[in-house]
Amino acid sequence: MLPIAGLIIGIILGLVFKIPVPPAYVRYLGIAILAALDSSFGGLRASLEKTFEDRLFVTGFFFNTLMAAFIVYVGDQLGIGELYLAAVVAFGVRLFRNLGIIRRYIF
Amino acid sequence: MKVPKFSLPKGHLSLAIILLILGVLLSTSFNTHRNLSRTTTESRKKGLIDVVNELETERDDLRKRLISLNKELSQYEKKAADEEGVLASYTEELDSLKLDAGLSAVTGPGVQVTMADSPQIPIGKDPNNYIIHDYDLRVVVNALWAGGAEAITINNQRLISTSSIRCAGNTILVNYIRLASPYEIKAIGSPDRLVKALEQNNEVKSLLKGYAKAFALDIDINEASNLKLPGYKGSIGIKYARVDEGD
Repeated sequence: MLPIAGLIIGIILGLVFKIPVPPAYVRYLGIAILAALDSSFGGLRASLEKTFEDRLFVTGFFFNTLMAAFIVYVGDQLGIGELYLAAVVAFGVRLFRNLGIIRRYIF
Repeated sequence: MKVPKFSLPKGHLSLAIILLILGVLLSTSFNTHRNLSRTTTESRKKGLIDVVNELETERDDLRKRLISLNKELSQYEKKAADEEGVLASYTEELDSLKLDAGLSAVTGPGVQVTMADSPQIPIGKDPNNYIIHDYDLRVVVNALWAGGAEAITINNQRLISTSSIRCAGNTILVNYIRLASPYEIKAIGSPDRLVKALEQNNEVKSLLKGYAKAFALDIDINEASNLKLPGYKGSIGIKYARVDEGD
């Protein structure tokens, strides 16, 4: 129950505080969301598999998010906007794989 | 047999914290996108177009009111002139001043110059060369004034002492009215002198012989025996200029 409460509180906090994001950083926000989603589903899967480890999970989340942002940044600096797509695809694939595994555990 | 249950025995807290961050990110992104789509250039452009259209209808309404009020005024003037003989001379003077100022509709002989954009712009060429510009109109109008024109209209907009001819985007503003190609310039005056003035003006010459030929601009000069020119319909609104009493 606690994780779901955390999600709901987070959404409410975001809606209440309306943190302004400059248009130039919207892409970073998007990739950060993907990374966060990826980590969350990864954590869910790990806990279903009973291999969940706090340290791995938390470091994974921050490391993935920062690396994703870094890749987007490097891509922007080098004029390779497509690096952003690489991150999106990588996270997307992992997301769906984790979802599939979670589905098999639940149903 | 142990069936894995949908429960999170370990890491409740860390998951909760991460999901809290995810939640903040999600709602922030949601907000940002809603704001962005609300202020894109397209929607702002649409808003501005609406404002322009609204103001233009308002202006047209006001102009209509002005015309009707002017009509009313002239009716009163006429009435006054009929009622009192003393005023008759003033009214006459007023009429002649109105004629001088370009406020009354006039008829007479003159010339008519029609200027139109090139019917087609070749691909890859600078489209600016193929259209009539404000300065093209000014060249012709100046030559006509120089040739002794007594009244000039462009697309039925009478030129008066405060009129300007200027470019605004892809249209031309005359008396703050947007005009578009083809431009019809009518000038009352001696047809011979006006045509001669146009033919002898160097700028008009280069316009006719040079640009018009090179870029297929459609420019026609015709003498006319009976032109009808409307008077100036807008307001003049002189705010700063005062009559110099010492003069």
